[in-house]
Order: sequence, then structure tokens, then C-alpha cells
Amino acid sequence: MEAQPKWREDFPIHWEEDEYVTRREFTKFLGLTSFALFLGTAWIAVWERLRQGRPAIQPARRIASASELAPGEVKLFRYPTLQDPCILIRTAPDRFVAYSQICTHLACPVVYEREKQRLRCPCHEGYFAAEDGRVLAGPPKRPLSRIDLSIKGNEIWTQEKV
Amino acid sequence: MRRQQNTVLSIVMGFLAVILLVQLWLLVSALEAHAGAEGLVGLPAALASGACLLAAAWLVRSVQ
Repeated sequence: MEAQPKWREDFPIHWEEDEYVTRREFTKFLGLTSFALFLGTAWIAVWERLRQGRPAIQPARRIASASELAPGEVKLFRYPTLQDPCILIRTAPDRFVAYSQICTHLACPVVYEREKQRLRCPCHEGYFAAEDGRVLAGPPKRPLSRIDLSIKGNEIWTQEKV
Repeated sequence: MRRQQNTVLSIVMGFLAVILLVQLWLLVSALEAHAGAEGLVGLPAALASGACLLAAAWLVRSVQ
């Protein structure tokens, strides 16, 4: 056996015994994991309840003036509440589109890729078409939620939704 | 006797693994439905996950 330093003789630590996890202990860990998964699902249920309490009518709101954005530029805004991030894109000189910025896969915010005319979710590489929000690639199954717009003169408004 | 205990513990761990997979599936389904604003999936998913938790707790207690 190797000679041990004096301090180690005084304070012996048996690493192998210390780090040994019995199967019974491991089942406890599995039980805790089950509790954590339950908490996550319960949190989503509570979140849904809170969302239900929102007003049914979403009033029209001014987002930007058309001259604020050059073609290919975007503006971030929140609609209908401050908890709902959205993105307004000027895809062409005479065309504006707006979507919810929340990816329909696992709720990460999407970003606009001007060169490829698409929206990208950086979390799991999901891609959506900028022209209509449809899924181009990646794990999302549903298109991005679209915000209906109306253009009044030089102003861009969301449409009232009942 | 010891061999029998080993088998029981292995079976319990197998059941726990299946329960955790079901709970993970429930969580991801609820999150996806929530992100896509698709109806109310959260509450039934939470209830099912709670039932799984009870089963898991019972299994864990049975081997302690």
C-alpha cells in the first residue's frame, strides 16, 4: 500500500464508499424527478388558467408608422398584453406581416433572418416562412400565430379581434 | 431471499422509469399545446402527472 501523507491518516476519506449510491437511494432520486416533472406540468396548468382570464376582445392598436421600417427591417412589440412578444416585419416595400414571437415548439423567441426570408428559433433550430408563418423545418408542428394588420394611411395597426 | 429482493428492486426501478417517461411526455405535450394556444391541455396533463407521482411515491416507499 502506498504511503499516505500524515493529514490523510488523520482524516481518512474513503472516496469509493463515499460516492457509492445504492439502488434504493437511486429510486429516491427517481421519485424526486417524478415530483419535479409533476411541478412543471402543474405550473403550465396554472399558467393556462391565468391566460384564460384575459379580455376576450383584443382592441386594435397602433404598432408603428410605415416609414419607421425599411424593407427587411423588423420591429418588436407586445400584443395583446405585455406578456405576448410579437414581431412586425416589412418583407417588401408594400408588405407588412406580424407574428407572435413565441415558437410553437417550446416557446422560445424567434428571430428574423432577412437574407433567407424566414424566422428562426435558435433553441431547437425551427424555421418558419416570413411570408405566412408556416413551418419550413425543425421540430415545430404548427405555424407561428399570425397578427392581423391593417394599414391606415402611414400607420400600421393590429385588427380588433373578438 | 437476497436474489428475490434484487429482482423486486429491478422491477420497481423499471416501473419508475416508465412512469417518468410518461410524465415527461405529459410535460412536453402540455408545453407544446400551451405554446400553440391549443385548448386547455394543462389541467388534464397535470392531473395525470399527479396520478403518476402518487404511483411513483408508492413504489419508492415500498422498497425503502
